[in-house]
Amino acid sequence: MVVPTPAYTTTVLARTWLNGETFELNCSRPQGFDFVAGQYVALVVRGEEREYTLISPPAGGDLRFLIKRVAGGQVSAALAEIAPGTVLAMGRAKGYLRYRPTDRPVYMVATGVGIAPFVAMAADGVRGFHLLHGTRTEDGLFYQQELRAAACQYLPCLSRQGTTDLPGLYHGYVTKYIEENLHGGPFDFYLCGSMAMIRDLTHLLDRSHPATRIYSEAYH
Amino acid sequence: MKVYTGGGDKGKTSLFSGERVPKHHIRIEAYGDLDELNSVLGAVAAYLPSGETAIQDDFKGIQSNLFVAGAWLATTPNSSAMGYLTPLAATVAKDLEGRIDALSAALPELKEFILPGGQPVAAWSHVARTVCRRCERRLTELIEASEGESIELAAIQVYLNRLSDYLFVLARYLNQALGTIDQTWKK
Repeated sequence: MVVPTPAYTTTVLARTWLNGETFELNCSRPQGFDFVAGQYVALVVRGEEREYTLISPPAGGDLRFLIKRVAGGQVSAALAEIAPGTVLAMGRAKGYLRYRPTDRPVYMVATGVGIAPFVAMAADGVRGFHLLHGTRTEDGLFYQQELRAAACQYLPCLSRQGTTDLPGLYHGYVTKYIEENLHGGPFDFYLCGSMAMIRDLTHLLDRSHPATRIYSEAYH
Repeated sequence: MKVYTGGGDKGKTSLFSGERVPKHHIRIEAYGDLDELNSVLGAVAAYLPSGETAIQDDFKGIQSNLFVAGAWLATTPNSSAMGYLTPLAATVAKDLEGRIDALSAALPELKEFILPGGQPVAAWSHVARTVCRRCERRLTELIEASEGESIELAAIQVYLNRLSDYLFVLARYLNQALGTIDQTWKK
């Protein structure tokens, strides 16, 4: 892989594990670095680069990333073990999954660590949206407290049975919830996460609510 | 890593402003043609003689400007997404006029129609010119079909008109620079 000339350097400050495979990485904020909530940057580790979405607000403070350790993934595995104080090359902020003010009802739908841009948007002051977060189990529902506070409706969608006392809990895929429960419109939808979810939900909305505006970003 | 989603597998796609539209929607046609133009310009650039650094610089600027233009064409007027778009620099059309004048200065006056062709790089420049003219036609169609189109689209229209002229002059310039005489149209 050709690694472009990085625009910034950042220092790893801390790592906090959120479950067995996902952690939050805190890094210093380079001077002059700017971004919009929902954007991502490339981090370069040992000559390889991967893009990670910022979950911290643009207004200031350290940069925070939500990272899943991917089986066989070189960069996420390295970041999972990287020592605080390590300096990393970092690219400029990119991406267009940004909140666009609207008078329509807004649905944000994430699977797994695809919740990251919506965490950043909530931290940036976006309020009043419906949020569906699809994960296998409850320990994948990151930043629940912050997201419940920002959303008008927070819907954890767990694909495995087990938990029963979670407010708003839906057992099943996010796509199924939308198929069964979405009425009215038109809506603005923001989708982030697995390709399958984005493809299936996009096709569903095309059929059932064709006036929907859809903004999406897939994670691999 | 961000990758494809397959959301367009059933013939619809998203505008930059989020609306889902069929892939033959007039906006998609318009920025699709712009994409085609940019690709053809890439072919011209690949054939440019290595010493023509000023023209190579022209192409870097033009291809970047077409990306900016494409984003405007992909966005519904008055949508909040417009706030994320970069305007074309105010001088882009004037800059092209300056380059047209500079390239024309070395050329004999044109008194007859010429046949598109000659050196491969010049022939590709003619192809680019015709694709550029199609972009203009699509754009005027889009502007006519849409209420409240932006000032920016009018600026893009001017830019494409100038770019077509530039590509015509460029084809002539390159043929001359490479020692090929343009063939005139014999009735």
